[in-house]
Formats: sequence, structure tokens, C-alpha cells
Amino acid sequence: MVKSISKYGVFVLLILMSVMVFAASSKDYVIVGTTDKFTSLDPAKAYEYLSVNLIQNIMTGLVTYVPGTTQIIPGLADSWNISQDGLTYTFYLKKGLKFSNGDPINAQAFKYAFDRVIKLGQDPSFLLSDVVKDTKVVNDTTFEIDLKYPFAPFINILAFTVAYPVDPKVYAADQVYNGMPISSGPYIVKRWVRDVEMELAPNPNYYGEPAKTPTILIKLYQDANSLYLALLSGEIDLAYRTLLPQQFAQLQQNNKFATYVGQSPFMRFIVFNVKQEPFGNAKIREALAYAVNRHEIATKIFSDQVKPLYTMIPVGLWGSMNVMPSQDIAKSVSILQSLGYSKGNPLNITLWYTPSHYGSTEADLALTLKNQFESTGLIKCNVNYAEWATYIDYWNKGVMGMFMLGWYPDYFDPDDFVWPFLQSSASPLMGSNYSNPTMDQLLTDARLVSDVPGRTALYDAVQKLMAQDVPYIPLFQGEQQIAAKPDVAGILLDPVQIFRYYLLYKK
Amino acid sequence: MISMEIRKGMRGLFKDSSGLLAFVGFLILIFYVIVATFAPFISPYNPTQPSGPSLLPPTISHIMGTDNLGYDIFSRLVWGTRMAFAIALIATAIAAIIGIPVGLIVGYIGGKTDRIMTMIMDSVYAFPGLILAIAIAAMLGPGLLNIAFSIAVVYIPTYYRVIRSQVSTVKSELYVDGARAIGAKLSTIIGSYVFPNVLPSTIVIFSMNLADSIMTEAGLSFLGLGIAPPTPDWGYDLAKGQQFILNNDWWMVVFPGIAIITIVLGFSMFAEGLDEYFNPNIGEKR
Amino acid sequence: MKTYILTRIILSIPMIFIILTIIFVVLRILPGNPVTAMLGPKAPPEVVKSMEAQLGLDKPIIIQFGDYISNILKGNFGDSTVTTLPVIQELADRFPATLELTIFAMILAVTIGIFFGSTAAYRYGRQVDVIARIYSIFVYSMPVFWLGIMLQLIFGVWLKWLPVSGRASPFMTPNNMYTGLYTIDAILNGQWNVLYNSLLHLVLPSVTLGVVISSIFVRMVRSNVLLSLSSQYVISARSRGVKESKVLYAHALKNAMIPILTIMGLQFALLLGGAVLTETTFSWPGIGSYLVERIRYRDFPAIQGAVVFFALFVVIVSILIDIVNAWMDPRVRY
Repeated sequence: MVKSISKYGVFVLLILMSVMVFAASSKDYVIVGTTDKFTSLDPAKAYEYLSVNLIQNIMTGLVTYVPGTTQIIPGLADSWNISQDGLTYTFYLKKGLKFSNGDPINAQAFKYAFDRVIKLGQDPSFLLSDVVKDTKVVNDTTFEIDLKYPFAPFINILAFTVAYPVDPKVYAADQVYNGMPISSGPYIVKRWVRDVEMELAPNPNYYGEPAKTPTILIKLYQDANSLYLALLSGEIDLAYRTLLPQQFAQLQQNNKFATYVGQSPFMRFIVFNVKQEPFGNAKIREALAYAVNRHEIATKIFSDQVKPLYTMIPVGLWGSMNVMPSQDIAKSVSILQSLGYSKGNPLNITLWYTPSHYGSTEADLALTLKNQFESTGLIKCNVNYAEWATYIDYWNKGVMGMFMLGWYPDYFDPDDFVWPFLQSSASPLMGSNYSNPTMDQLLTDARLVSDVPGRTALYDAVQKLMAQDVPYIPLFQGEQQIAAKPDVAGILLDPVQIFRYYLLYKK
Repeated sequence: MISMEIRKGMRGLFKDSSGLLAFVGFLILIFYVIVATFAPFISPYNPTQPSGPSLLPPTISHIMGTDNLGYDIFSRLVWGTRMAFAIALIATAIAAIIGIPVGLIVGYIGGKTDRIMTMIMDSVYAFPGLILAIAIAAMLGPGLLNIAFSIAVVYIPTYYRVIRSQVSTVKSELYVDGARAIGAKLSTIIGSYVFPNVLPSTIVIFSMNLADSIMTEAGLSFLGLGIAPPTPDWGYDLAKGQQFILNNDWWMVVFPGIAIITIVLGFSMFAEGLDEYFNPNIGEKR
Repeated sequence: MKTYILTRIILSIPMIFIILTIIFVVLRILPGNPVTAMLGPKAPPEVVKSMEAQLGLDKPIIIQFGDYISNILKGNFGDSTVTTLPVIQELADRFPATLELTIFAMILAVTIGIFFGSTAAYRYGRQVDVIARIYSIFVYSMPVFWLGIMLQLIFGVWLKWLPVSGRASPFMTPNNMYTGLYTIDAILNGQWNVLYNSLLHLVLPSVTLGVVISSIFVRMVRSNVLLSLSSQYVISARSRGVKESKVLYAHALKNAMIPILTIMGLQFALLLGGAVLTETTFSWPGIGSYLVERIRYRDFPAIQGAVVFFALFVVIVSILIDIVNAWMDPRVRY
């Protein structure tokens, strides 16, 4: 009996194998694999990377970036005016714009979208609600935005997904939309198996240059190993976010694959809650900053796929200036000794991390920092962790005195790298509670000045003051990485970190 | 596959000598107790500090290799024995301390209390234990006692059920009736007449639960709900090792896995042997 | 029979209520505000307040409990705070993956259990029996995720025979979903390559889970068949000169089936616990990995929904098994 079953099994297997048809290898599609998750394709809700990035490929806004640069150019708008006082933005839309379902993209759709974002109050809504006072439909193709105060980086916010128009007939005003997205960008969503894969097809109603490949398949993997194996086995054409550092390093040695590396504005840092002792003492924060060896972190944990960062403004953005010291254990020791710490009476601190939000290297990062602090001989550092949601709660409640966070900018301007951290009303949200009137003044001035040299001078002063007070220890800056089969072309890693599926094609 | 000699030995071992089974389990446990006790002398390196180059395969200086930060895996396994014992013992003890008295008292009193309590315990018992432990562990956050407690909750009903059912049988025995007739206090009856009778089963369950709680702890650590690093912990090391299997760094998963398997084997063989010794006819309990 | 089924269902109601209460208590004392988790650190306090009100988190705990029970009765598990989708829909999306995995694992475990267990009992004390006992005690001591990792390493990395994660390769999901079980849907669609692909993906996860669960089945089958082999029934069958293989399968095993089935029902909870770890190991998009993923976000409605779902799943399976038992053996009645 057992024998006959196994015989049948072999037989069935043979039949299956003979009818097995591999999807015809062709230039018609590019399969992109990722470990990122996306939660919503509604511009009013999307805020984590993959959600935003997908929307950037299926929708578009008033203005957009020249691919590969940080230069703003017209998108759905043809042109715009900014009033003398910097408070009123008037946009003139291109004529005859249509959503993928044929509904018109007009000023009404923009007003509807802006009002909806603010009303829904989801994660990214503050970007509009903080500065936008009012919006007006002047006529079908003229849209006006009034600001609460002049805000130089505002035009960058308009290039972000939160300011994209939505079809009023489909996206309900009072709730987040979870159905198939209506496109205004190069691609439409053709098929969507939640948590498994998503298929994109070109949007016939897109105003711009049509997408290069008829089908993009985004395949979701749950961990780096699955993604890596899928790439090695040829299941996917391209892996974007996120392989383990040593896996990417191996791919760089592997001539069967092409690897691409680009700068990223993503940065990581340690936050001090200055209201919690002993971190209220700037001297202690300084001593800890001297103990950090960023090169060891970059090399040992990230196989040199991150860049040591010595300021809060990432390298590659104007205004960035190295202000933090390199590791200097002797200096750290002398500060600690001057504060009365010794081998018998070490400084006791706890470093917190969160295990799931920043990838699987996070525990290693915490352990390496712990060992660096303890290499002074005068510090006893404990390590503790909390899951992301608890972590957020802990920092809001001031439970953690020293913890690690990461930052990905909402708009590409130095303001977004210093204001949320250092301004006294914003710093509590970051868990730092740092407050310095001089700093506040510098930050406000930098928002009001509109010329780059003037603002650069102010941001230089901001960064120097930051290095003096050390409410944060910047650690490193990320890097964008893509590994792909060699026949995939059109891969562009740009400084704003918009990954454009619509430029991809197979050679 | 198995040589003649081993087969003969095995046959002798398993035929009807539960004592030997328990003995082998006992030997494994003794081995681990020794490892745990003398961890500082056995482990060549500090388990919470890097001690060599990273991702080193097993060599003379690092007999089980190193992990990606250069921690010596052998040293971590040796120290991890302490953690395994600590959590398993604390968890099982908490479960026993709650489950046994409740089972004794409720079983003795009987009636409505019995029915309600049994229904609650049965509900917990029927629930997938690991899922309950995950929920509680996530609630309490990391820490030795927190983990131990979330595991303990799962095993309380195991004690309760066995103790209660035995008590209900024992309490109608003649000598218990006799004790009641001469006016012995409830605590005396339970303590001196009922408890000694259920003690053997308690020991068996205790030993089985130790095995199970080591597994549950490893599962929790694997899901990222365990003790904060760098405290040596087998489940954590295994989860970390999984990240590196595609690089063929097999030593990071093989050795912690073997450690978990052998210690669980030790406990369950010991428990099984005891079970057959105490209850030769009952057979399978789990 | 009808009365029996009805009684059995009514009897499980207090049990479900107790489980729901335990879940509520456990989840409501979680530190970590689901609203801040949901809105992110940048949300202004007044938005947090209004969202709390919207979710009913500002009400007294007892009222929240009432709402919770009545919502579950209405089949309303709330909306996920991460995706804003109804949790019931997310669970429905993911349930087929878990079902498919558990069905295949169960089939494997039962097959191993019955063949290995009854053979061991029949050859009590012999080589097969020794191997069966070593197998069951050894496999029982093996963490399910460790076995999974080892199989990934051997069959996925070294031999490269089998996929190590997910349910299907790109473009290999069934065109039309009827049941959500890829294997069944592929057959219904006549997409044989999809069927083959999904079977390949099922091999490692279901073998991992099935083998671990089989250890208990082997033990149970062995001991129950041992008992029934020594029963009067079997002895008389033997004395009538019934063929040995028939004695084993038609008499002894059949006789032992009822206790075996009951205990297998009890092990179903263990199977689900194992499924959580297996799904995580193999990136299997089922309810187990959903639970683990949402715990990180403190997605209350989702965690609650998943845990309640597991509880109901266990209860329903145990009711079904009791009914099957009653049907097989008329002596079992309340």
C-alpha cells in the first residue's frame, strides 16, 4: 500500500513538472523584492517609507523633483507665484489633467485633498496643518494656498505625498481609503494581494512621460534572508530595502549581480532626555560623545555601508558641517574624573533600543555602543529594549534617559534636521526636552531668511551650539542600496530617496 | 544504521527499565548543572564582550566559533545554561506555587467553587500556550522575572488539573474520612494526608514542565520577546544565528540548538522515567 | 445527535467568555499607548485625545469591556490601527495561509503518527519500537523553529531544492481566489504550474510543523494501540485466526481511534502555537506571523482579533472532534 502511494506520488509529480510553465522570461516586467511593509496607499495616511514610495510612483503632486537632484520643477502645476510676504502660494494647473479613472484633476481635487488630510489628522497631517491656514479654488485650474507664517521650505512639502490630490468621488472625506488607489502618476495598481505582492501597470492618463516597463511586480518578503535568497535564485530582478550589510557586501563581490549605492538622508542618533539624571549634565553628555567610535560601528556592524556622521544635518545637504568630536577616550576619562567618577564609583547608565523598527542590526549597535562607553573604565552601561509602540510611549513619558532613534526627513531642507530636534517646543516630542533660548532664536531666524548663504550662516551657528550642548549624539548616515540582475537598467538612487519604478526597464 | 551493540543496549534500556531512562536523563541534567555551576571556570571568555574576530568558524581558540560581533559562542552557551535553568525553575516554581495549593483546596472543597475554577483553568489549558505567553510577555516587557511569569501562567492549569483530580479521588479514601471524623483541621488533612499522596505526580509534572518552559522561553526569545542582550541566552543566540544561515555560518544555529535539545531531552527523559516508575500503568499523560 | 451537538456548543459558551475575558485583561494592561503608536511621535496632543475618544479608550475600563464583548458578538473586531482596515478582513485575508499550513502539517503528523505509532506498538520492544520512542522523545525536544532553520539550511541553502519562504513565487498566485488556499484555487483554476509552485512552498513549513507535532501522535497512537492490542476484542480476533495485518489496522487501531482522536484534538492548540513559530521562521503570511508583527505596533484590535481568533479556532475544532467522536462511538453522550 505504501509502495503504491509513493508510486502515485512520483507520477503526479512528473505530470506537474511536465506542465510546469515558467512565466516567460521577457522584457515586459521587472520584479522588485523588498522587506519593507506598506500599510496604506492613501496620501493622507501614508508615512512610512514603502507606502510613501509607492504613492510617489502612482500619484504625483503640484511640484516634483528633477530625478536624481533636489531641484523642484512643476508637476501637475504648470507654474506658480509666491507672494512678496511669503504667505500666499498660487498654482496654475496644467490643462486637461485626468486621474486614471477619467475624473478630472482640478483645483477642487486639490482643495478636497488638503482639507481631507487636515481633517483626518493621520500621521503626516501635521506637515500641512502646522503651516497651512487656508486653501482656495480660484477657478478650475487655479489653486491658492495661504500660510500661517512664511515658511521657506514649504515648496518641498508640496512635493511630498501628503500634498498629492485625490479623486473626491472615490476618496471619502471622513475616512482613510483602503481600496484600489486612483492614480495621477505613471503607474496604476493592477493587482494587489495584501502582504504578498502588488502589480503595477502604466497609467494611460498620466500627463508625463509614460512608464518604461509594462509590468512592475512588487514582491514583499518578511526578512532579509528571504529577500537575499529570492535574488540569488533569480526569483526577483531587483532587491531594494533591505538586505543585511554582509549580504550586500557579498553581492558586491558577486559578478552575477550589479549593485548600486547612493547617498541617503536617513540618519541615526542617540537622544538624551535632559530632564532625566544624570543626563541633565551637559558634561556627562559630552563625555559620552567622546567615547563613541563611529568608524567601529560603520565597519563592524554595517560592513562600511553607512557613513559616520558628525552633525545632525546629513552630508550632501547644504549647510552640513562636521561639529562633533571623533572618539577620544582620554578626553572622556578626564571629563568623567573631573566629575568625580572612578573605577570604584562608575557612572551608571542605561542605553535603550528597539529591536524591530530599525532592522535586526539594532541590538548589535546597542551592544557595540555599550562596549565603547565601558572602554573608558568609568562607565557601567546597561542595555534594555522595548518594542516600537512601547518605545514611543516610553520616550513620550520620559521613561528612557538615553535611547536611539532614526530620522528620515519629511522635506529636504536643513530645517527638518534641526528644528524638530532643537527647538524648545519641538524637542519634547523627540524625547529630549532640550531647551536653549539662543538656539530657538537661531532656528526661527533661519526660517524667516530666504537666501541660502544667509541661512547657511545661521545653521553653522546652530550646529556649533548643538555640539556644545550635546542633547543628541549623531552616529551615522544611511546609504541607499540596490542589488539587481545586470540586465535591469534605469536604476536611479536619488538624494531625496524617491525610488522611481517608472524608470526601470530591462536591457 | 545503528550498530548491533547499540541496538542491544537500547533494547535493554527501553524494554522495561524506566529507571535507566530516568538515569540517562538525570546524567544529562547533572552535566548541565555542573556546567551552570562552574560556568566562570569552564567558559574561556567573557560572554558579554567581543573576544575575537567576527564570524569565525569553530577553531582551537573558539571551539564553537564566534558570532558577527566576535562574541565567543561556546562561552555564551556555557553561561546561557544558567539563564535556561533560572527561567525554567522560576517559571515552573511560580506555576507550582499557584497551581498546587489551588488544586488541593478546590479539589478538597469541591462543589460550585470546583466547577467554576475548573472551567477557568480548563479555558486557559485549552488555549494555545505559546500564544498566551507571547501576549503576556509582550505586555510585561523584557526581564528575567517577566519572562518567567508569562511562561508560568501557561503551566498553572497543568498542576491544577492533575492535583485536583487526584485530590477528588483521595479525599474519599478511608483514612481521610477517618481524619475528618476525628476532627482534623482542613489544613492538616490536606497537608498530611492528601498532599503526600499527590506528591509523586507533582514531581513528574514539575520535571515535564521544566522541559516545556525551556522550549517556551526559547520560542519567546526567538520571537524577540526574551531577555535583553548581552545576557547570554540560547534562544536569542539562535534567533541571531538564523540571520546568518545564508552565509553558511552554521555554527551560530547548530550549537545553541543542540544545547536546547539536549537539556529538554534530559528533562523529558527524566520525567518520563519517573512517570513510568510512579505510575507504571498510566502511560501517556501529555 | 442534534441535542448532543447543541449541548456541546452551549457548554463551550462560558469557556469562550472566560477566554475573551483573559485576553481583554492581558491586553489592556499592556504599556504602550496604541494611539501614540498609531499616530507616531509627531502627533499633537489634541489629535491623540480625539483619537482616544474615537477608539473608546477614554471610557472606564468596565464599559470598554462591555463594548469589547458586544462588538465581538457582532463579529466586529474593530479596525487595525496600523492599516485602518477592518481586522476581520485582515484575518480573513490571512486565515487561508494558516489553514493551508496546518492542514498539510496535520496530514503529515497524523500519517507519521498512525503508521509509526501502530507499527511500534505491534512490535513492542523491538527495533521499530525503540526507534519510534527515540524519535518521539527526540523530536519532542526539538524547538520547532530550530528544525525549520535546519531544513532551510539543508534544503534551501545547501541543496537548493526547495524555496524557504513565502507561499508562492512572483506571478505564481492563483488568478481567481475562491478559497484562499493556493493549492485548491490553483486546481479550480486549472493552473497546474501554480499548484506545483505552491506545493513546493508548502513542503518545508508543513514538514517542520508536522514532524514536531508527530512526536506526540506517535506516542499516543503507540500507547493506545498497545492497550487495545491487549484487549479481549483483539485477543478473540486473533484466536479466530484473523490475519495479523488486519488485527492491527482493522481491529486494534480502529478500537484505539477514539482516544487518539480526542487527544489529537487537544494537541490542536499546540499545533497552533507551533504554527506561530513556523510562520515566523518561513515568512508565511498567516495569522501567526500577523500576530507577531502587530505586537510590535501595539495594534490592539489586531492582536485582540488574532488571539480571539485562535481561541475560537481551538474551541470549534474541539467541538468538531467531540461530535465526530460521538458519531463514531454512541456510548459518548452527555
